[in-house]
Amino acid sequence: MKRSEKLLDAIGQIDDRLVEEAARAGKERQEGKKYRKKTLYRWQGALAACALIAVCVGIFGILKQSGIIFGPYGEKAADTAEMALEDSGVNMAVQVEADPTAGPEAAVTSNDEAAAPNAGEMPEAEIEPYAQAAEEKEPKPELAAAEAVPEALSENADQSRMAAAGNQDQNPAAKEAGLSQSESIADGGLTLADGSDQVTVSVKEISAERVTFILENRGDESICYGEAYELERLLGESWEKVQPKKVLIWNDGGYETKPGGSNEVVVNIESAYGKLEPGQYRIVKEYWLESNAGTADYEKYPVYAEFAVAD
Amino acid sequence: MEDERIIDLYWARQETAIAETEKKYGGYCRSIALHILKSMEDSEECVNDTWMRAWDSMPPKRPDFLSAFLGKITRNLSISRYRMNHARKRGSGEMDLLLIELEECLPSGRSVEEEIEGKETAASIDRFLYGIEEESRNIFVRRYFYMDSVKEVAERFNISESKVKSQLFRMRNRLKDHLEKEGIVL
Repeated sequence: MKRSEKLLDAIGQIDDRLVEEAARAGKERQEGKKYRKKTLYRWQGALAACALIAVCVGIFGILKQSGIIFGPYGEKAADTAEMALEDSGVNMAVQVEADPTAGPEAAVTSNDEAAAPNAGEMPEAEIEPYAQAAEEKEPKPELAAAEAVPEALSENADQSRMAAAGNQDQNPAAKEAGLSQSESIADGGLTLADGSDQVTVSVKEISAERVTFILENRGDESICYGEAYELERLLGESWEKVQPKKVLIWNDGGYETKPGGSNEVVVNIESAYGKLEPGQYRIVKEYWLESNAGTADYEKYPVYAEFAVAD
Repeated sequence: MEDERIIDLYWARQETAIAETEKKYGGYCRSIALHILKSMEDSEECVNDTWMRAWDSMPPKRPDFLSAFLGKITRNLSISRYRMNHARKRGSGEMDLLLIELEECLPSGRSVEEEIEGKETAASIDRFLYGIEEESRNIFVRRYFYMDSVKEVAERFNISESKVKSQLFRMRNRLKDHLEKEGIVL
């Protein structure tokens, strides 16, 4: 057998992980591009719809204020809306005030049903909940993007899910799995003028399946990060990379955290690494400055979130 | 169906294992065979032989990566068939063909020494590949494991063919140095 044939045969025996990784390589990038394009198109559509609604509402407001729009009885539109509500037996103001514990969402519902009256026509007490509710109802772009990602990591998980998960102390699964949050959170990235870290990471909750941490940007520049992360284990005095049980695939997208903002990052440890052995671990995330993306100064900085798995 | 479930079917000796494997990995294995053999008919036979080998191997084996496990079987079978076809076409004498045919009767086509050498070489190549950049590593594996053409590699990674060629050239030289440093003699 020729030497080159021997080499060819030897390459046929390389590690399965390398074979698996190469099987997906390149395609991920193409799929990532497709995903970004799809997301872009979806947002273009949504933005166009929002813009159209805003224009319609604006025109309607202008026409109404100028008295061009009249109802079937010769009244202006605002009067018509009020008359229609009175006819149907619904008193908007009474409904909103009747249940002060209903919260902002109830206010939104009632305002929606009442054809969203102008803020100027609303009593002062009603303006605030209406505005709050509008803020809460409005989907954030990052959240929608994360929902479209079917991978192990999802950013900005919705509050209801996080609340349902409960904190670490209330989570018996975490205790059962022997997981606990380390007190010290290591840093590794950029520092501010006062020497403190620009980006800090703190573990919010831990279960046997996943770790949720808060990534906070304390600087005055926006930061970005991707879906990728690594898990390291403290062996002796050094941190060693933990090999995942399968090839991890990340969508080629980025998430932004504005100055003073924070994001929740959920890492599905069990599906990627299986059941962890007892020990000290840390999750490594990398971020970069949004302003440096695509420039010669582009550099990634690591941040770490530590946690421990007990016996 | 998930790989774990498919492997369970093999272990339970259920013939649906082969149908499920064909459904999930038929295209993948056929693509590997076609890259080597350039013949639909030969590729189809190699893929069918792959399922038979998988059936004979599981149990006792329980691969961590079923796709890589099947891919390797297909690759080895396809290379063997390629060598046989090549010897036949070359007309290099009936003896060559006869020897290749007889190799199939042996428990393994290689001697124990060759087997150990091959594993050592593969382990050394693993170390080399894990030590280089991810993209370079994947280009190398696509070219020399999956036997993609330079054009296919370039399209897959969205880079020019000349860049693929230059990267492969550099990696071959680095691999040569690496194997020499580790005392691997082929």
